[in-house]
Amino acid sequence: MRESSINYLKRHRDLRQADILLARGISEDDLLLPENEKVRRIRRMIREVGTEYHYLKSFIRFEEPRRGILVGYASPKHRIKQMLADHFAHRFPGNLIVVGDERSFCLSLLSERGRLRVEVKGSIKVLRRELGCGGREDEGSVLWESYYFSQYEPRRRNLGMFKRRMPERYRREVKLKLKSTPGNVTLDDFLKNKEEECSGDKDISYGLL
Amino acid sequence: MNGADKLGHLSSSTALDVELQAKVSALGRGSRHDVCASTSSSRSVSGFRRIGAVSFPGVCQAFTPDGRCVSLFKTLYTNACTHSCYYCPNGAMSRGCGKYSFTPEELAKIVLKLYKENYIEGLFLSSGVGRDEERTMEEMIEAVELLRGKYGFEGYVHLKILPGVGRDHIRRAMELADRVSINIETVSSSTMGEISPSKDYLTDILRRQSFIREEMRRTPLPAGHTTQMIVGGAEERDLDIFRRAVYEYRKMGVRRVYYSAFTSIEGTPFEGRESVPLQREKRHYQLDWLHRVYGFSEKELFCVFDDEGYLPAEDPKKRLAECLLDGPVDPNTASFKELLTVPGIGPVSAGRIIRIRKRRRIESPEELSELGVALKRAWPYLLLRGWRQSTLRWWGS
Repeated sequence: MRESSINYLKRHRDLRQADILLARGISEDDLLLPENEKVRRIRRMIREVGTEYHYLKSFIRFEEPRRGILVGYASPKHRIKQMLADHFAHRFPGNLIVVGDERSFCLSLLSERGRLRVEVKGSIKVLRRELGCGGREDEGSVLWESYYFSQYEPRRRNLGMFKRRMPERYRREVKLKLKSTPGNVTLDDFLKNKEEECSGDKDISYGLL
Repeated sequence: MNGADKLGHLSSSTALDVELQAKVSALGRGSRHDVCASTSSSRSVSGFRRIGAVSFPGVCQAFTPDGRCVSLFKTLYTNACTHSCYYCPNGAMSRGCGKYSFTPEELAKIVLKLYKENYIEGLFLSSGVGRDEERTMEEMIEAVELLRGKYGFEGYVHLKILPGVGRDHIRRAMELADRVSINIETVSSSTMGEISPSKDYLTDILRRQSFIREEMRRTPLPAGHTTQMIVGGAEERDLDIFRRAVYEYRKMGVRRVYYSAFTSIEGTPFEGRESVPLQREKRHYQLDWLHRVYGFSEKELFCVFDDEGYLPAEDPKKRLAECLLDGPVDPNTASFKELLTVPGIGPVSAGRIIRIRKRRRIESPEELSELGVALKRAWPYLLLRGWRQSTLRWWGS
């Protein structure tokens, strides 16, 4: 089996030592049509980690409280915080990347002088507060919201597709949250309001947090 | 000092400025009918003095409520335009649209801000022609030069080539971008006259595409070049659109043709016309997929059109299967091409079937489902362990 598949498997939250031993003895083709429940379980675990990693690479959002430090909230089910941090460290060399949630966070830095990778037990919220996150956060998110809603075409509205592609459990990472006001009870109500706002050149008031 | 050090923040007063929000919104709205969201590029990046990299395909930072991927900051540079395209809200004959324009520095900073916070995977920059297409193209290029040079940005860039611009600008755009494109919009000079009389189809569009194709010998584009057509903007038939798309793939060497169903927009000369059903656009994508990805030839695909040259209301692949298959297909013995002809089986699942049957026979529909076959669509066309569904009329009793 490919090392990348083994790597995903190792990061599954329900991993047992026997899973690794089994995985090393089978091929990628064995995963196509699993011959027993144990192999089927291996396939499912690899897919779950791969899917979560794929989603979070796209959905995580960063703040830059100080130049060269990027802090992003992500609360994955599986042990992929370090992988996520490393991915963005490669993307932004010279920047310290911090990814995590209330339980732990991972740091990653790639620079000319070498590589740093650290996992810290503790809440990223405390770190964010200490770094002064939140002040300039709105710059990017306000610009993003202006842009995001400009791309919505009411004629093509397809909420089923939207919900399938942006699973609710990742909405916190994306910062896409409905304001809980009496006027915006459901996603459909919210979008109906948006359609009216987007239908002309009217000023758009922002309903997302 | 690397790009990140030079970037700094957009000042609060600028970023939260209401006028800037209105500009981002208006110029974003002006580009929403441009379809391409691909961010896949073969360019490799290295070194430490840079911001960003190109990434894996399939990344989508968000989806709009219409289910479409938002991976790029897709915007116009300006929505001022002297062309009189009857379908376009930015055209000279359209009314009621505030005119906005970025400056190169402003645009570059917005892209960097959104990119670093991981809202986008890169930039898709299109534009109205402003007062003069050469000047506007220069400014678009200047914005990308700032990104690439001053700020060390290595993320994905898709740059539109404006109709009629000079070859030097095309060459420079190709040096900077991962992908360039010029929209052909329609199928011929005569239909172009029906929807956009100020554009010369041969000179402003097709000749620019030829320049791109020729320049690619010297400046290979990591993500190739593409184009887009409006479905139903003029009175063209589906067959005409398909033939033009095949020409674009074969002669112009485009990587992708995108399709956009004509939408009637208030304030444009075409506001009273009926919008084309989105289903028709979808059929063109399905047909395009059959040609480009599945490898069916133009000749094989002619049979999916009706006598008047239009696509059926159903999936074109069903019609294709009726034309090409003499009987049900046994997945244990069929060739790759035969498997591909079956609705519900694509190149990935066909490849898996071929791989697995080298080891053992496929015995049940559930196994096919596990291999990625869309069983509901495929089952009527399959023969498994001597059993077949015999309701399809063209296979007889």
